[in-house]
Amino acid sequence: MYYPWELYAATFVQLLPVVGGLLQGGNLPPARRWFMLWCLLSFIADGVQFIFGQVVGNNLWLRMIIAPVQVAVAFWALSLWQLDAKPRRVMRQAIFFLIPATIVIAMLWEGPVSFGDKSGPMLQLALLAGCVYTLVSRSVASTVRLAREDWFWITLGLSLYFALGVALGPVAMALLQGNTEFLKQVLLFKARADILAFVLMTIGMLCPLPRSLSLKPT
Amino acid sequence: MSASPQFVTEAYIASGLALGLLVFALGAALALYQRRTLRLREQLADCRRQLGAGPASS
Repeated sequence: MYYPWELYAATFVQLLPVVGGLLQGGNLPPARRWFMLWCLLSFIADGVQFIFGQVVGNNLWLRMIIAPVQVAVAFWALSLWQLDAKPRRVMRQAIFFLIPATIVIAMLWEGPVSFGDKSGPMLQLALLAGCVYTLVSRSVASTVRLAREDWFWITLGLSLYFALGVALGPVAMALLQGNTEFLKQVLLFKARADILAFVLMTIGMLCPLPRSLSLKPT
Repeated sequence: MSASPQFVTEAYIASGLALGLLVFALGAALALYQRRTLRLREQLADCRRQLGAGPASS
C-alpha cells in the first residue's frame, strides 16, 4: 500500500529530539530524559501500528494500550519542568485520573475500531493545558533568554502537536464513514504540522544544558 | 443532519492553521515580554548600583 512521504517523515521526525538529546551527552536533566522517552514511545507506537496495519488490518485498538502510557510519560516529563511543588503534584495526580478514565471510556464507548473520538480530545486537551501552563509559568519566571531554554521550545512544539490532536479523533471518525480521500487530507495536514512541532522540540533538545542550581542567580 | 466530509476537512485544516498561528503568537509574545522584563531588571539593577555608589563616591 502506498503512503505519502509526509506520513513516513512525521513518524521518523519523532526520533529527532532523541538524536538531539544523545548529541548533548549523558548528563541530561530528568525532564529531557523523560521527554526523550515520550518521543521514543511515540515512534515505537507508530511502528507497531504500521506493522499491525499491514499484517492484521485493524490497528486502531492498539491506541487503547498506547495512549495511557504516552499520556503518563508526557505528564511526568511536564511535571519535572514545574518550578513549584503544587503544579508538579497536580500533573502527577492527573496521570492517576486520566489513565483509568481513558481505559473506561475506550472500553465502554469507543470499542476497538475507533480513532479515540471520545477519549482522545480529553487526553489531548489535558496535555495541551499542561503544556501551555508550563510555557507561560516558566516564561514569566525565567531570568535568561527564552530561546536558550529547552522547555520553551519543547512545550511550544508540544502545544502545537496537542492543539491539532484535540479534534483529530472525532474528525477522523466522521470522515471514516465516507470518502477516505478527505481523511487522507486531514492526516496529511496533521503529519505536516507534526513535522514542524518535532523540529521545534528538537531545537529545545539542542539548547545548552542548564547549569547547576548553585550557579543560578537568585 | 450532518456536515459534508469536505466541510469537516476544511474546518479541521482552517482551525488547525488558526491554532498553529495562536501557538506561535503566544511563543513570540512571551519571548518579547520576557526580553522587555529582562531589560527592565537590568535597568533597575543599574539604578540600584548608581544609588548605592552615589553617597560613597561623594
